[in-house]
Amino acid sequence: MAVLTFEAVVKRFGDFTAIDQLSFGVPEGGVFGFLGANGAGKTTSLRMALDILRPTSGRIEVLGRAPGRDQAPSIGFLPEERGLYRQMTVTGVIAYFGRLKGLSAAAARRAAEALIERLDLGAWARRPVAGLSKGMSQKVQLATALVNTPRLLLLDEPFSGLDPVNQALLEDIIREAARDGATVVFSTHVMQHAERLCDRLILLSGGRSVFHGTVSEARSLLPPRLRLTAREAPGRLAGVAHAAPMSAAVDGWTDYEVALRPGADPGDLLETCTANGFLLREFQVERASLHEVFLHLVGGQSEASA
Amino acid sequence: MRRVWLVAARDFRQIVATRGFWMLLLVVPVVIAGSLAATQFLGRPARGAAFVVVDPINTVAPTIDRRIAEAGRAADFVRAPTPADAPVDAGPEAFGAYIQGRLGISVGAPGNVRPLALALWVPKDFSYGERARVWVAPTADPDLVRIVRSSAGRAERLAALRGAGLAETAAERIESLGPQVIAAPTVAERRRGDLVLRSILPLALVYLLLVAAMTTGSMMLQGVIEERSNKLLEAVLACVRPEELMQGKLLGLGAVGLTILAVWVGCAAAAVHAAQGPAAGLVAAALQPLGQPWMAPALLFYFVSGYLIVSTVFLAIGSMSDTVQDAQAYLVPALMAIMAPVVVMMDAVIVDPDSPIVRAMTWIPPYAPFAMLARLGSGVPPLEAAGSGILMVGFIWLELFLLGRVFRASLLGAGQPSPLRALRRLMGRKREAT
Repeated sequence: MAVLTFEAVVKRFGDFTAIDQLSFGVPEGGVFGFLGANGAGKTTSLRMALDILRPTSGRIEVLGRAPGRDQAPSIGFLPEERGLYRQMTVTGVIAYFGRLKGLSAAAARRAAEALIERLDLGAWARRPVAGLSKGMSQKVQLATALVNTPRLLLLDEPFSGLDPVNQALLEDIIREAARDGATVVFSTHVMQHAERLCDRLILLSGGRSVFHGTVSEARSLLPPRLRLTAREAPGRLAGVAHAAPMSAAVDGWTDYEVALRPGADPGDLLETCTANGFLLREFQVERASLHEVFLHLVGGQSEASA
Repeated sequence: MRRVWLVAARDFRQIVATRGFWMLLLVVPVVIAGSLAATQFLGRPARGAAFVVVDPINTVAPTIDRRIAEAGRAADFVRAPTPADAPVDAGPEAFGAYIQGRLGISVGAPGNVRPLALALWVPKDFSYGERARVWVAPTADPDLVRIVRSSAGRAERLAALRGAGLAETAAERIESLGPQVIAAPTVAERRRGDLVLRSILPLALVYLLLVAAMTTGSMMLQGVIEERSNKLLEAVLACVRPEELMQGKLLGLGAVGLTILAVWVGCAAAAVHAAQGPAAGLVAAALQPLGQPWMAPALLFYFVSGYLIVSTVFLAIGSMSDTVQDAQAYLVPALMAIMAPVVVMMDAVIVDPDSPIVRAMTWIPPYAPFAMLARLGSGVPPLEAAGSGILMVGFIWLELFLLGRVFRASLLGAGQPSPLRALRRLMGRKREAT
């Protein structure tokens, strides 16, 4: 069952088309990545899923229904632009969002206290948010998204502004939420996070989907890079498009950078070598990274950071 | 509705936790307490006054003592013994020369030492044409001077009447003759007096409405701008519809306004109760209209309606502004548009509650609550009251609907030029083009 479905969704702001015929589905469970350069339409899509914005045309379903605040008890949301009520205490603000999402006062306070413990915010629990550092405030904001133990967790650029330690903590929390049965959808333009966390992803460019599938499928969009060390040049082997020596031969052995023909499999090449007595000392396959796929698909429009 | 209440409660708590709220809340009680203390302090004679009476045959002194007692000033005006070295038998000139040098100087008097404010010399016998003489210090209490002069004058007139051969009782009767003055206002004056008295409470509520709406309106405006600049709206709007957020804010900050109003009115009532006297009588008379069963609900309805209408303007400006400075530029014309006609209308109500301008404003929704509140004291025809009320409710509904649209359209525009700035730029371009 899909927990989030977009069908031919279009969103225009005046003459500008932010989302153009976007269709995809997010299956229940696991981590789903919303990838794209700045301005690709990630935040707009998430806002439409939350009914903060309405699509110009098309259909959106969230947890089997049209988007609306009635689903707030089942959804957690961390916006890209972070902010909190500065005069409220840490416990107070987390519990307040719990109450807005339908928890009773007692349940919201219990959930807030548990999250404060989990996120190591105990020393600040009764202090006003105004006195927190930026990193601490971001943890509190994350807690406001998690306080209702959501079925669907929507995180808009969640790693932005976090230091490496807190980025690792956030990755743990995302995995933990997915392990506990939640579906996590997060947007990012940092491909390493997506590569480590996502089961499936969608890649947006100019408001359109340029890829939708698993991470493995995405990485397969580009042929793998192959390096081998052999006595003979591998250019004549089946499936090899091009082979270039990388350095001068040492004791008769030369390192080659091999480009395979489209659709050719490195495993088949290795099998051919073995069957034909083609001597190898090293055979190293490097699949394309998500970053390379991103650059390949989005090209010059990308402003993505590495 | 639950989310509306949650937003309202949070906003209420946030405002109540600020120092500004408590300063605002306490300013009226402090001013009232200060005024009462000052009144009591200023109204009490600091030291009282002493006076001396030289009255060899005791003709005038008892009358003076009696009249001072009747005026309730016995504690203030004390008759001091004539100084032992005073030349009381040397005639009025000698006594006058002696006593003038002592006026204003403290003398020993029963109870304490007080400044000598006045001295009276009464001749032994008025029948020889001699007259009483009074020496008065410039700072003497006018009441004391009046009592002493009238008492001495009465004694002189009685002596003259007796001297003319009248019996004692006849002389007393003639001396006390004089017309009885009865204040008799015209029917129109009486009507106007009643009207003013009945209008005190509604007119006071108009002023309180203006103060409460303006004060809490600016709090509301700052709250919305803070939420926009803090970038937390998106998280809130994921759980709460823009309309619910707006309604919650109106409810929460409306509760702040009504709390302030209740405390101010309560303190004023307590002060009047504690003060007693003419002010208490006036307020009691002004509160008489509340005896009519429909009056209290009507006052509350118009007060809340007016509050909503004004607060909504503040909320709309706040939701479209990026900074307080940005908002203030637009608040001045908006507030002028609300306040100027109301002030004009208030003057008109005092002169004639049925004047065309007042009747016209009853049918203009933004001003209708003020006009109706101001007219309640003089009585409004039921049909007019019902029609205006229905129009007002419709207008408030429309205002809330439009504000909801403004909220939805503008709240997520943080970081982009505010709608007001965009409007200003557009107007600038138009001016350039023309």
